[in-house]
Amino acid sequence: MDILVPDQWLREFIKTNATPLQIREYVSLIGPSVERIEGSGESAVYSVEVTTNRVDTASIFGFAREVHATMPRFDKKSELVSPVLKNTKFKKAVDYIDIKTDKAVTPRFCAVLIEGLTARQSSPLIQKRLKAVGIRPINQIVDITNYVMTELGQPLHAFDYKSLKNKKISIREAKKGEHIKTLDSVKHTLLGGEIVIENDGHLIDLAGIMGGENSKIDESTTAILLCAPIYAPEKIRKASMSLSARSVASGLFEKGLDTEGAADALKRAIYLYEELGGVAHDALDIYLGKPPITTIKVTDTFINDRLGVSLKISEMEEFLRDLQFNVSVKGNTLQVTPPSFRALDVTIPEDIVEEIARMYGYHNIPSTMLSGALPEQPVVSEFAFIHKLKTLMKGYGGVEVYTQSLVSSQAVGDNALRIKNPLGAESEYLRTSLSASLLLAAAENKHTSEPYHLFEISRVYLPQGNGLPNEQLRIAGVFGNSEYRAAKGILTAFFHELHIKREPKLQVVNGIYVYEYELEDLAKNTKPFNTFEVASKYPSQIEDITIKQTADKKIGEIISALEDIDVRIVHVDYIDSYQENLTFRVRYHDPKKTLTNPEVAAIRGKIEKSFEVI
Amino acid sequence: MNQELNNIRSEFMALLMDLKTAQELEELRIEYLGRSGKLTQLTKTLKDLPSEERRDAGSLLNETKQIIVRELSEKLAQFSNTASTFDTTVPGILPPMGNMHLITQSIEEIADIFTRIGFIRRSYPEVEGDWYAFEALNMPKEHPARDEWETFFVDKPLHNKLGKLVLTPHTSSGQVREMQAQKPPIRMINIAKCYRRQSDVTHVPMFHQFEGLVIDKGITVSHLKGTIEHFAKSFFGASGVSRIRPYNFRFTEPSFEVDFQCVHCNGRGCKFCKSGWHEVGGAGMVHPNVLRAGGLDPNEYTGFAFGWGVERVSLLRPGLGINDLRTLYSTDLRVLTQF
Repeated sequence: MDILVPDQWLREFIKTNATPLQIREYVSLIGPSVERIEGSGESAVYSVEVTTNRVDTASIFGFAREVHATMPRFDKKSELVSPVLKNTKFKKAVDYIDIKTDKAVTPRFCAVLIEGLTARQSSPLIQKRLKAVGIRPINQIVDITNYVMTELGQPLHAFDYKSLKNKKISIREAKKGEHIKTLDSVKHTLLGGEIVIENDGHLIDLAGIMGGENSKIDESTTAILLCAPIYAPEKIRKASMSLSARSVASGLFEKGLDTEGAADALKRAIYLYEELGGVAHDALDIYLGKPPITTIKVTDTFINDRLGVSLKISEMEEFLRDLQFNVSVKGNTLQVTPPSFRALDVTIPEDIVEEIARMYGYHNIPSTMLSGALPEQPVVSEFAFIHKLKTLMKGYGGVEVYTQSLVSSQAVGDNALRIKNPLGAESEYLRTSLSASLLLAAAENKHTSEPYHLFEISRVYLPQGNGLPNEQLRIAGVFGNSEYRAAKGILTAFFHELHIKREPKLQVVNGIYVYEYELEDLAKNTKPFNTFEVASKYPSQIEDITIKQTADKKIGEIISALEDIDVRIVHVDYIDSYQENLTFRVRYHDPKKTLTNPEVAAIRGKIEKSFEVI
Repeated sequence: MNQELNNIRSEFMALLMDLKTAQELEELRIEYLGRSGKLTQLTKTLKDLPSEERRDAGSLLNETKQIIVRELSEKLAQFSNTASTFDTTVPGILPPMGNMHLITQSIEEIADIFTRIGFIRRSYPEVEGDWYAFEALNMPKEHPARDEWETFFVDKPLHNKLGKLVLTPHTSSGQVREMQAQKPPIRMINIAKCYRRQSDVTHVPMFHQFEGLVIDKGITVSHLKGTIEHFAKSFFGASGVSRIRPYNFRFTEPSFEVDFQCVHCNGRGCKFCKSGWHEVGGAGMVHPNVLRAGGLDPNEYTGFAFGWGVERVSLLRPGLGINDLRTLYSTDLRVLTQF
């Protein structure tokens, strides 16, 4: 997720002599990535990419903590200023509200009654800051909940106190079929398992995602029940996904918030509401599920061995302290306890490696080439074979293309794998042949009248029961605007180069010649070279013979027949044809002697017996 | 007579130098070698010489004649080459000219860069169980990190061992398969098709990634940096510069984002890069849970992995001029024949 941090707001919590450009550059090297700075000077706003494990940095103050840890590494001054909090008293029970909670749903729930408020416009500063981070100001009661969420990363929700009947609410999992209309006027029918807040038999909050319309703040509101909850992250995530309902708050809750931060956010909001004339009661704190914080033991050797550096243990200690970790050193072992806002993220020694490495600076780690033993090399490489086939086709004028593996239902038969969530009907199935895609590619090239040959080597996906499909590598191609003999000749040459004895097979579809072969089949039949034969000492005799074609004989059959007439007819080439007259070039050869003219004449005589020679 | 022959030879050479046309050359030939040409005339007087002089003069005469004949023919050849009778500007007849796709060219180059330093190229399923695509990579079911991979699901019942069938959203799905297939030392490069539910100028639903995986005793972040640098310099040229920055992936710890310095502006910042750097993808030290999923003991072995986009790194090369990733998946010959 990306968050926006206005520079002026940031500098309320951090006193530093670093410029916005320096903050951007340095923080990106050590902490979250500052993607951009929008605007400049007083209106500069950082756009910060927050990774899912670091939701603690998804706020102005959270980002300030990272800036503070970073600056000393670049010799910049830095002082972290905590936000001003109201020193409110927290109790386990209060008289103004009775809240029933469930530890599995909300490990901590803080709430407070604030009276004496008016729902007028916020101050220009608050409005300006909210707008700078992309939040629309509504009225000062609502705005402060958003302001504190932006500042501290803890979502707050305010109910109109007068709308709460019986002063009793319960926080629970929803049952299937329950309904709620949220603030944005969307009616949701719940699937069960969402977290909801119920009051007097009605749902008033789709918890962690959005408040209910029935309890919202309006112009008549003077008292609010302000809540700072912690919700079970996986339940919020599941609910927002299944209902397709997302909000800034749900994006924070689902990543797992610091339970310790909830009370501070409430105290911060109370401070701000009191500035507006509000009067807060003692707060309620139902804290049932405090997550454990892992204390990690790790040696300096473990860390240095993973980084390829030799840092001193005292340096490691300093880095961790700058990140507000609790550290003690015994011999060469560090005993590290992360702050509560890092409790979910830092649990194993490798996490400590990362913290020390980034503070040391990845740019300071030297680069080393790999050494040591090499893995065993495979004897046969499918990649070399693919390369060979592609090189051959390119040499014959083939143009390689990459078409999509996902195709429409028309491009596959009955037995193909369907995608559950396709982008569209054109890409709903995993293809079972390449030809269909290549024929579409040929159709795309109707504008050309030149002969062309498009080819592709790719996988097709053939279903196999309940298991993984057979991902079969194939080569396929299309010849457009081409003579049949030219297209077939390319495949003949292709097989010749692969030393495969095979008659090429071309299909014709709308005047396009198409071929498709399995690579495994080609690989099985190919030979790296032919067995060598000593060149004959004796010359061959070659002559052209024209034969009258009879209706029942095809050219290929005539060639085979000619070659079968006598062992000394070693090769027959087709030259051309005129009407029904076919001309062949016949090579006579005897490996043991030079053929004499009478001998050749005798063989020719055999031909004349079988065919009408002209 | 010797003197006379020498004069004829010098005179001929001088005249030859000034010649401009084949016509003049022919005239010169007749003047010297014609039936009443200068040399022919002199030959006729040879018989009048005293016999002792005749032999010497004869051989000199022959020599002179040979020189003149040779010079004339050389000059003629010069004229033929430059004259309109032979037009060297006529275009050659082209052999069939095919094209290897830009993606293939990149894949082969990338494979070569890594096999040079002992990596072995492998391939793994593109349609895979989500156990290999996510769970084995330390992303349990329902983990929000899975959202970052806009995954296509195959409409099939759950497989009892592999879970849901997905189109691999990253080549990292091959990591644990490699660990199961091969004992360390592992140096794998896996270049394959990947699929994500997205389509715009910088994303296509089908694309290619290359995944490196190295596992052995004593593998460090420093080795990862060395390997990234080797790639940057080999692929982008000697001035290729790379850096790593903190990031988060569930299957590596620590995790990095890898940037290559913009080759257009050498890192000063320009319209291609904005910041002087281009993000190409992720990298990191293999998470101990991933090593365990592959049956390896994280106390014994460490490793690194990286996975970057083939199209992404290809388009970063200076002078290529393709700004829209979708161009690579055009089937138009006018595009394909330019690769």
